[in-house]
Amino acid sequence: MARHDEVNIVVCAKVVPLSSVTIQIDPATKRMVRKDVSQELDPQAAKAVEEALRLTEKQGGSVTVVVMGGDDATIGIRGALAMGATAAIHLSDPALAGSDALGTAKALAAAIRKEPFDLVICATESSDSYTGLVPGQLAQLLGVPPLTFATSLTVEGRTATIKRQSEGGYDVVTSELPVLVTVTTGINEPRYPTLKGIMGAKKKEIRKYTAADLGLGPAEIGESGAREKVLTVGRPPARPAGTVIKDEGQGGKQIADFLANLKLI
Amino acid sequence: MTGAPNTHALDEHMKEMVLALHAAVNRAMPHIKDDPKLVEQALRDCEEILAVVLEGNVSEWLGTTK
Repeated sequence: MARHDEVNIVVCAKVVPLSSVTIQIDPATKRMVRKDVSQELDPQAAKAVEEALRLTEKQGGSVTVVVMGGDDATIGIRGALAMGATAAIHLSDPALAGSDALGTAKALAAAIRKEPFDLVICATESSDSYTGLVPGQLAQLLGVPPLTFATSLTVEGRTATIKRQSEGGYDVVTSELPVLVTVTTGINEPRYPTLKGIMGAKKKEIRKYTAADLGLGPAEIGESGAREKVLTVGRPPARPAGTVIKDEGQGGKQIADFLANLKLI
Repeated sequence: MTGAPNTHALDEHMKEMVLALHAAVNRAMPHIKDDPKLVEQALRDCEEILAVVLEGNVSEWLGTTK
């Protein structure tokens, strides 16, 4: 029997190159090279999935994962399903490639609107491009309030409550459902897929949507619809070599002098 | 290197297994000193995955068993 406080959750996730892979940028397109690169569910998105699973395990409901990406994103989608997500939606179409943050948000919003949802959970930012723009844009497009930087999330009845991380501590913020919540890195430690989860995920549904299914055209998505352009991509400036202090009886004093010179002590 | 088309599903399955092992190790490593139960569970989960891989029942992995 359905519980009165069950929540239908949509998690927006991204599939990114494995953290052990050295990211390459295509000099012509300024885009990350993803072809033939091993990928995984973004560790930040895994935290959003984990938070959704914890809520539905407590209260009932469903967790649908939405991912925009090429065919090779399937591995990450299966990862989320193996963790325990109920279903997945894969936005896969060459027309979506090159979308900027707003184009991505439009595609995600169009897919989410097809679902009955109470709560959308996103990572604060992805761990490959780090723009952090999509969740706010998505909330605007869906017409729901964004509760951002959550270090904890609870839902009671039709009210979501988060602790929002701030510089000096946290604020407690609430909103009526439906709502979009972004979660921080520290919110949880995500579970890993078990063998049972991996095998069970093979029977779960992955629905595929093209740009046409979402009612989106080249003016809104893809390279042609992108209003945000990456002009250059560069490495951070090299850091100067550090000072090595060899302790020959005066090491402590030398460190203290060094810190005093920097006015740190 | 590009795999033969008929090995794609097997490649994907093996990648999933490797990612699961990787995730289990990553989950357990920070807790070696403070949460032995979690570490033991992760070890058991890794053993379970490795045992199935070594068994090599490909048709079962790919759901082709009649």
